[in-house]
Amino acid sequence: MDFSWSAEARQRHRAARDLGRRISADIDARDRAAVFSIDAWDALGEAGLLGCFVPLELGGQGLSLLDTVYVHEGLARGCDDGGLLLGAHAHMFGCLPPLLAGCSDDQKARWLPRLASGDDICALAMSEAGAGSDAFSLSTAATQDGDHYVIQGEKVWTTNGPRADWILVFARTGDGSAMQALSAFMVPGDAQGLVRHPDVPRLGLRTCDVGPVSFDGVRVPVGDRVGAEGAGAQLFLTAMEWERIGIMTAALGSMDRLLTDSVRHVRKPRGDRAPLKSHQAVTHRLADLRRDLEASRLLLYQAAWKVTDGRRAAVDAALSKLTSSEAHFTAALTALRSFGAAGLVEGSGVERALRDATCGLIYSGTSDIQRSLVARMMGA
Amino acid sequence: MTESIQDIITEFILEEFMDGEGELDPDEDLFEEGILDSMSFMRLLEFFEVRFDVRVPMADITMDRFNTIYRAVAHLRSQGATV
Repeated sequence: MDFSWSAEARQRHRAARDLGRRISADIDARDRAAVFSIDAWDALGEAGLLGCFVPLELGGQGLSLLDTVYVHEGLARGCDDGGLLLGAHAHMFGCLPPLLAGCSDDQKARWLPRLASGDDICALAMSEAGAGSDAFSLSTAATQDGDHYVIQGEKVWTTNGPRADWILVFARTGDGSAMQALSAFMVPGDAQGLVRHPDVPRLGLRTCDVGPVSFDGVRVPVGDRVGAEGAGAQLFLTAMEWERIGIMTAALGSMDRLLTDSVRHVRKPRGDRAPLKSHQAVTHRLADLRRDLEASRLLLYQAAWKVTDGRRAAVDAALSKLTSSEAHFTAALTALRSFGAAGLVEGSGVERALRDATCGLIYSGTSDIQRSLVARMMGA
Repeated sequence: MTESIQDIITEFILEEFMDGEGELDPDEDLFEEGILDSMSFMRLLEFFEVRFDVRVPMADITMDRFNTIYRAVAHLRSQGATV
């Protein structure tokens, strides 16, 4: 594999980085107020950054996943709004792959163009309060009633849930093994019986709306089922493989920014005292940060390359997610140690990076879930 | 004698998911029998890719192509799987 980029790819990367800087200039105020920016979302949509790998004929950019992650790494390098990136990535990497894999041509023509442009926002509703580490242990059920399904249940931690135009929900449609008894449905955000609960106040990534979604007898036409009845598990596995790869581009961009800022900071003159870089303990931490960034980058590129090449990437995606999220958290701590007390101050960017990075250890499968997945895939 | 694709898959499932014990009917539903779950299924797909030099992209995966050994063999053969 060759991870050198074409001139065109580098141009896309730079353009996304520059856009990211522009749309996140007001992040400190919005983070304090926990406000999502629809203007920033629209700017991502207009730049084609919400449908990179969607085919051209469906309104996307027609890029491979490998080219997509490079663009989004650039976006994240410039964009300091981790919440916005979480929402964008849950929408694009979590929702669009299962739709592309499972929808009929008519369904694709109906849903994908507005999702690829960002005109419609999508949320993936899978997690349930009682499921624990087994994502497939669902109690939400969809029962067929004539030419409709009736969905009953509640999902938690639904990224984009409070404002989504469409919710891609997974529900049981039969008894027996979850591998053959789950199905996926596209539910409009204004469906009768659907309750989108408010954003849950939380530690980090506060500029993204995340909350529970309840389905109280929501009627969905059979024609809005995604894929065959019973195909939900495979579609969810598709979603997780792509999401775990794509979502960590935000960690790469943030780590790169933290490293640059930290190096700049430790080189600063300090009056009569030697700059911080004269202390080996400080510079060794930055060398470790660079090592972790490069390792995370290569694992992520390798996973994206495998998907692009049509190979299995479940282990690669889990290793990438585990490595990048843990490295991001360590990088934020390293930056805080480099900046000292100044990094604790609101508006410094460092304390927000640490809060945001902490969330990365949890979402899209915790670090321990990723470890368990890798271990089981090795037969251990 | 050369092992067949069916033999290789049966041996892998027996060894890796059934502790080398019991018997496998190539027509039994591996999900309904509780032999495969989401993790072991992903592992089986990875094994197919490496052992038989085929691609099994997500878009091609439906459970009714892989829920029995017979069906998995048929699908892998259609994808040009070689022993």
